[in-house]
Amino acid sequence: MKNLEFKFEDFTASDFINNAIENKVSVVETTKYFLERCKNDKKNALLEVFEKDALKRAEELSHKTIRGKLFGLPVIIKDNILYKGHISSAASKMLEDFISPYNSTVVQKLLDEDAIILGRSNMDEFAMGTTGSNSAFGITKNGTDDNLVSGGSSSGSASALASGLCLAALGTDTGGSVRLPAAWNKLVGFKPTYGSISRYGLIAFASSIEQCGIFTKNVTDLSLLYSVLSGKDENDASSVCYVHDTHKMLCPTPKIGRIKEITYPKEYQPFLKDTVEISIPNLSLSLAGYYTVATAEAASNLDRFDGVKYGSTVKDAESVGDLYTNVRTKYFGTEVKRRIITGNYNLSNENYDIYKMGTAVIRDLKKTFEKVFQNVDAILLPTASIPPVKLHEDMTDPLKLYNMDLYTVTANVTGIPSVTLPVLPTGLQILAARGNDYLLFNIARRFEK
Amino acid sequence: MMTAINKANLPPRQKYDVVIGLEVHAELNTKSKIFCSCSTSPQIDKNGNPLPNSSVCPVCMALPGALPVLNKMAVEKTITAGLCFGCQINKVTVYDRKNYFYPDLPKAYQISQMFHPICLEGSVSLSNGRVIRLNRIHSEEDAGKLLHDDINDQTLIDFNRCGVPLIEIVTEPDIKSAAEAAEFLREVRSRLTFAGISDAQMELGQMRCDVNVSLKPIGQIKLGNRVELKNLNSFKMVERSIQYEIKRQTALLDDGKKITVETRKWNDAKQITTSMRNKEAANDYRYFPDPDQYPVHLPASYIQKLKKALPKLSGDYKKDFINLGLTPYDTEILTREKKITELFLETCKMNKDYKKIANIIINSKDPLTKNQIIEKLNFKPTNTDRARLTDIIQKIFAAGYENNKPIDKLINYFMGKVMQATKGEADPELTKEIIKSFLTEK
Repeated sequence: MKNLEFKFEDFTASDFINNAIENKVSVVETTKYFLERCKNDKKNALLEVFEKDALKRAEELSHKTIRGKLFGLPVIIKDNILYKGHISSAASKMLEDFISPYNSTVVQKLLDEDAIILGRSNMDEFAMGTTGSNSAFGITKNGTDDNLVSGGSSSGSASALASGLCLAALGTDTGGSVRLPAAWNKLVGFKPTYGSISRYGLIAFASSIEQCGIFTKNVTDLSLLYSVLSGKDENDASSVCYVHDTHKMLCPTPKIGRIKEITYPKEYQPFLKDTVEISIPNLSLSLAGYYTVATAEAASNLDRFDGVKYGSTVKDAESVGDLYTNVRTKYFGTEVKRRIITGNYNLSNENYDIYKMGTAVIRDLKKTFEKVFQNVDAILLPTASIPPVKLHEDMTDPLKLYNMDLYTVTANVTGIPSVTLPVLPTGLQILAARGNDYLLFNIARRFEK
Repeated sequence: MMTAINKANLPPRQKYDVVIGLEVHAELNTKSKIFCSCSTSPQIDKNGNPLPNSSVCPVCMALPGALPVLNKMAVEKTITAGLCFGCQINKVTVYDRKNYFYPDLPKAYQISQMFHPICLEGSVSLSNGRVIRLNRIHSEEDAGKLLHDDINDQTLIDFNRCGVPLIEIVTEPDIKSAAEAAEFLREVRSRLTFAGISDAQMELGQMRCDVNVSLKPIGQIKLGNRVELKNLNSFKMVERSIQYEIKRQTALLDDGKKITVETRKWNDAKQITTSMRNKEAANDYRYFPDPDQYPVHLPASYIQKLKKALPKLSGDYKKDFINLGLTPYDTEILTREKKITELFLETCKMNKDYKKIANIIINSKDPLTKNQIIEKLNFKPTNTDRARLTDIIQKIFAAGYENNKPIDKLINYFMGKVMQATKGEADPELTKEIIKSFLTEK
């Protein structure tokens, strides 16, 4: 039912879907409404609005009698998630005109459950960045405040949801790329257990640690989206089917830990009541392990962009070697080049010990967390180390930027699920053991109010 | 007065030890590729030619976002290969990325195995009693093919072969001559075909071989500089290129020159090797475990199951055939190809004249069917046949011949002539008999 004082963008995803399924709102009308908002995007959150396709889909869906779990839900996807027949550029000049000939598994699942994909969102090029400033197509403004950055790398997805262009958004989270912008845009952001959501059709950055992540307004919406997107995928050998212990999931009296090695800011104190102190002495190594392994994998993953098969190319190369050099010099951005060079350095014969140390650090961290989770059900820590950066602040010092990932990378390298809640300006991050994603949602609900 | 002696005709003086190691690639005959479900056989056009890029998908074309999913049959056949050579099978095996740029390698890395291959060690015994040790057999994916279009001056890429499963058999540097290398390769081909895991035809590129050759003064422990030979598409090319390379390196060392570490290409038209690229600026492949896949566990019970299912290999048949009373030469030829072994065995089920069956198969130029062999076995020459053949042979003898050769060679010579004259129609047994009678009469 249309209510004059109530705007569509104020719906939660779950409420919207219920209304749409019961025909209380028309999916054609709501789709038109959100498309209009998308076309008036003032944040540079979107790289493209799929107006024609979205409208056509809405028309088709409106005639359906059996309706999917995400019926009519307006969704924005990050520009590194492949949607058949649409451009996926990873916000890079390298793939500026690349049209995907196939659907990623997550897009297929969204479509199978009747969601409507409105457009693709801006991001740091190839998901490499913390503030969103590394996009080849300009920085994204914060969805809640034009003077602030949105945060990266899923800058556009976060800003789009926060500014009411959609009701849920997908991102990818390699080192905090969903949770950091979620915190800065006052949203719920989630990085699932490694392997629980298929990576098939996600333009790869660091394969062993990245996952598709979800932006929503609350934990109920998140749980709904996760139930659709998760599951074993025959096209992704790293995907795993976790059996969820329903009894454990309910967890009436969760034991929550706080990390001894972290100095929690004052505003966190109310949440730390009733927590137990745990020690993760090697926590500070997460960042080093992360940047060593992530850059190595990125160097290898991005070598396929060579100007030969698809994507941008040059015409005037005199040899194959020249073609590679010219294409990669011309179309990759500075940060992407920096990480490719760093990764190749770490993997080279002379420096292979660095790569091995990186993997060893990660192995140790996994063991530490496994042990810790025998004693606690969840761990609290900040999401971002600082509040959102101002739009015109100098963002050129890579080390300063890498340090902003301090609290988020741990969940990536250890493969554990992590959610951030918008209860504090730097986000309240909650971690749980591998495979305990639903338990994590249940615990998160307690902190939501 | 002494005539000038051509140096090249003298046998090489044994001043140097020859050290040869082989890297043999063989395509496994799985139905689908190793990391996707594409068929390993491309589609065929109207003229019966394979259609380029007809068996490709996002995975083997390396589209963004595509991920490899391991074909278990490729692992299984690699284990079988290992069992054929008495290898040790690793309990846990890992696929690694070998990173390098080349247009036929769409991902810019080949998924291969560096640190934890499926098979380790193993060996092959040669007829001279020497044992060639294997270092490993690992599993990997093939690359595509570049097609050079000289008319339009462009290079085209066919990705059909991308992702076809390969095994790479790496030997220790135990081989000492071209002949040993050729024998080793024949044995590899025989085992792979008998095990039913590869068709291993070098001419079709289903089996490829890179050869490492180095020379060192006899007695020296330190190995000499190594030259890698490529572009070897037949056993003959392997043999010839090694012979040439030994001569070339010997001449250089004799002149006090150094051997350059390099990759050389066999030029079959000129029968020489030519420098392809200098190895000094060696590629750094930046191997690391493929983060898209988990390690593969190979339980002992699974290996045991494959061991039990292992079919008879050529060596087993050789023993059987010797027991049937065949000569080592006959058994050697009858066990070179699985098809021939099977034909022999099938025919033997219908007729017990093993020696005669063997002769018919060995002497036949064209492949025969079982029924054709039986027909030939039952063939009793009529008097007209004998008269016609005698007539032909008489004419050939009348043309004259060098009779200072041993009788075996003469028989072979006349056999050839008769077959030529009769377009291969003449019955070999009868022909031989008549020729023999002519020769002994004189």
